[in-house]
Amino acid sequence: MTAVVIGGGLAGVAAALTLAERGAEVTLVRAGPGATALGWGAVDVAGASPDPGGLPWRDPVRGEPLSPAERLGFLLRSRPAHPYAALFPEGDPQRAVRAAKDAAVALDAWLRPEGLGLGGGLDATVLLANVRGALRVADLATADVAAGDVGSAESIVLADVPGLPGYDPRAAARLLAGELAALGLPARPIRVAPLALPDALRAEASRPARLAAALDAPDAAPLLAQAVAPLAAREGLILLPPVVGLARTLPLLAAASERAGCRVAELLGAPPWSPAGMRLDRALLAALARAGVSLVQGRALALGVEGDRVTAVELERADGGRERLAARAVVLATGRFSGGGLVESGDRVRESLLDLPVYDDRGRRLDGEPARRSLRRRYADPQPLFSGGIRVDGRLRAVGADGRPAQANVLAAGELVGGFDPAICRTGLGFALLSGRRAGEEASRLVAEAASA
Amino acid sequence: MNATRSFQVLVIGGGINGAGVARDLALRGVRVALVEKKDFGSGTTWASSGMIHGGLRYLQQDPEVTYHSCLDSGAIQRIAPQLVFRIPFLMPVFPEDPIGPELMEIGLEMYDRYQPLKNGRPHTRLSREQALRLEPALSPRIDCAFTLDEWGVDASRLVALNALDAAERGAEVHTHCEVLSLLREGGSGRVRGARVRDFVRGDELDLEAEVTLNATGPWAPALAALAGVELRLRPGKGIHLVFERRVSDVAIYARGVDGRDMFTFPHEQNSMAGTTDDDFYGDLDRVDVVEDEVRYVLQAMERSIPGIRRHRVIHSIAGVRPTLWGFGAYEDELSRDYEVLDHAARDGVSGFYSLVGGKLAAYRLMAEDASDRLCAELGVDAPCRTATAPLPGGASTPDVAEIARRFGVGWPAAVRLVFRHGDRAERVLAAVPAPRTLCDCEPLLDAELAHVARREGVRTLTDCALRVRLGVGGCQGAACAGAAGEVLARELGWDAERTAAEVAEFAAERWRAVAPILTGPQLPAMEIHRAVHRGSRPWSAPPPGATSRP
Repeated sequence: MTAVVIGGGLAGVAAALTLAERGAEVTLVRAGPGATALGWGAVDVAGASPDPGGLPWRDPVRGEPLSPAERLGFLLRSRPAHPYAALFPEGDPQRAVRAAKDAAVALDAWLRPEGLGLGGGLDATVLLANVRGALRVADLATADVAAGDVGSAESIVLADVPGLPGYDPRAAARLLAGELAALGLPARPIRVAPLALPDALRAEASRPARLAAALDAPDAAPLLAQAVAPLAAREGLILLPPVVGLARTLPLLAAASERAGCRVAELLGAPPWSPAGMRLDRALLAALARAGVSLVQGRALALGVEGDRVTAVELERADGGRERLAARAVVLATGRFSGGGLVESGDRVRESLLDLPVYDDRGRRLDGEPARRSLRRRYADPQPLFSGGIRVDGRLRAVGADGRPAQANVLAAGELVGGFDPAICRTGLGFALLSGRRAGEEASRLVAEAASA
Repeated sequence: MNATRSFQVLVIGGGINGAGVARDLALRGVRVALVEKKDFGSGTTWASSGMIHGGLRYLQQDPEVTYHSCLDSGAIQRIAPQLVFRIPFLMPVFPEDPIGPELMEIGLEMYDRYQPLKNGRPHTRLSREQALRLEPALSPRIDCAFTLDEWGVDASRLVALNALDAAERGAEVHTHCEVLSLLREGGSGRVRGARVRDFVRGDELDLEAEVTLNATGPWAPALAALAGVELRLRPGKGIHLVFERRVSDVAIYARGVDGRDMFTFPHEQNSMAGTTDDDFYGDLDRVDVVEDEVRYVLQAMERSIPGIRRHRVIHSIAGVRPTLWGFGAYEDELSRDYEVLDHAARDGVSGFYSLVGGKLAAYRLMAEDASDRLCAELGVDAPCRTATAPLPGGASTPDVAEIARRFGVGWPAAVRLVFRHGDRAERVLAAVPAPRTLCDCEPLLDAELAHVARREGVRTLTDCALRVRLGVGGCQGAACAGAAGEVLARELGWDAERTAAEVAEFAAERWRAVAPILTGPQLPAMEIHRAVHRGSRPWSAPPPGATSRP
């Protein structure tokens, strides 16, 4: 008798690892890489966005830049539909900050053995540039990019990797300068300098993931450090495109940083490629294996219900076989449309496993009608469809149309829970982490209760 | 004070008709300017099926149109052999069809007589079993099926090539320039060109001309009104749905609930399905697909291909035909013929002509006719050469395998390059030191973007959807628009803010094409599209929708 987590992005993995930490037997069912694997390196709890619907960079009244904790407070006060309200019903930002810090420590510990980690924090905003030069006003991020806080750098060097597609450091340097100006921050020197990699490594640059894999080779660290060293600038920051290894990113950056005598970090990714998300996904799967969570590659098809609780998860394994897992508690972490948690079928939007009610960020039901009904033609308009998801109660139990838990032992975490548009309100992975952790705690309590009953 | 430039002819409208006339006149040595308010072919031409066929549909009521279309289809094959492709059609016959196999044979026998004009093969009749073996996706309810032979073309590329050839032969072409007013002698006399606004540069320009041609398609009445001339059309809206993959490698006829013929046909790696024909009274600059059109088309397709709804519709295309005015007829019964109107004789406004109506397949003939009339007025007696002079890249067809090998690019990328650029493919590949693929939906090379920016007058990122099919595949530009913006920025000297604004505008354009058809299978792709384009927008870019372009 175990807990079953459905969905293997950050929310699902956080829930499963939290359950495992508390001694529960956990099975995680995962159909494949989801939105987490498409990430770019940021894990924002309350990131600011230039979008009018996003969290602001400056206090609208005082004009001062907001700290992450202040943005979180602003969000708790002004966005009652955001699911942070379920996690922190008393609306106390300090409690939310403490929870975020605890969760960050846990995630960092999960990632470290894979040469990755978590950096940044809730006390100060970090300004992270992506490969195009756009700035992200962030809080948490994987440690390789969090070390690249542009705000605290007196001078910046963008490393050019000749032949790397989709990365034009000169264009990025120009945009970055404009971004600093747009945020009202002082200008600082931004240089572009070539990274003189040996020919054998340069030959791999046509595919970012291949270069990243090549840099994982045991003898690559000194070569990278040697190539980075000449770029060093005093009090400065050297930013590399996100190709520094797939499994040894932090050791590689540390060696390069030591040799160069200044901070060396990675840029955030951007389409079309982002080894960052892939790396995070791999590290999370490795953490599951270390914690003894059993992983089933497959898709949950249905939940078996007895009385007021779910007792089993029926699934189709990736090899085509069917399986029925007995469950004392279930965590739904299936995401939205790209994760498969929300689907449109029979000409209506629905939650895929229990047909739970789906609400947008204004509280309107979306699941009785086709997706196109809640689409706006103008791209600039808010899109209620993409803010939609299920609702949870204060213990993260998925709720039905009457506002009460749909089942006594079904919890939900991550973006399946609606009420915000992750493209605009930059809280997606942060909420996935915090809600995943809390759902894991709640699920372990349910498993223990069931065992003692 | 506006900058002023003088020409013999000003052609207004950069669709296939305007570009065709500009090329024709340039080949005759006439000094011509061509002005288009967006990009070449962005109006009706982009929305066309790209079929350069005789139109079996017109055989009964308009045999002249069929004849001319077939004849001119042959000419397009000569002058742009790289750009045309054979499309075999399957025409299923159902037990309840009013026109049974025997009557169908008679019609197709007739049509066969036109086939030699366009290098088409004669029709064949397939038994039910043969047809289902050839295309297992067909409905098993059919009695039998016929095959017939048509030709397709990349319509927006055809326009661009006509405009490019015109420019290379001395014409001056202006995209993203909208006509603000017509210049008149003494305020209300002879039309002497037009004042235009350049939306990209943000300035105005006077283009003076001895003769002005209105080739603005469905916008023709609005432009004519600027000269105080009343012109009537029966504008007919048509839509196409675009599927992510090919539904079939052949085109398949389908019948609408109202008996109209439609079809699904392969185009690049997509299939398209359409089209509709409905009287249109709305805003020509805001033609969007609506839900009942989507249902109507899918319902029709489903009868021929029962599994059609399993295929993912990724975007839609809508346009308005500039059909000639007719009263008391259904849309489909209206003539597909064209007219060249001399507004001096017709309305007492000299120096002003309109070219209205017509079909893509017969564009060259229409352009020739219009050019003849304009030349007569100008006293130019050079003959038309458009039926024989190759379009750019059309003089010979290079070996795809050889190009792929020499430049180290994949076969699929090389095939597309030769398709669009013919014997100029090598020149395109030489535009950058080591060509790289920008998008995996359809392998698009940075070299091609650099080339069209440098040599073919591309001015905005959005132009590239039409010119080189940027971002019209499954990802709708989620993966490629940003990188493509950087290639154009390098070529066109954009600063970072302009680049970000171009990428945002591109994303907004794709959204417009996707939103009307956004259903289950495409929702994950657009969720990611939004995360990419809304979620990584720079602070220094203008907010979405703040563009100054129309």
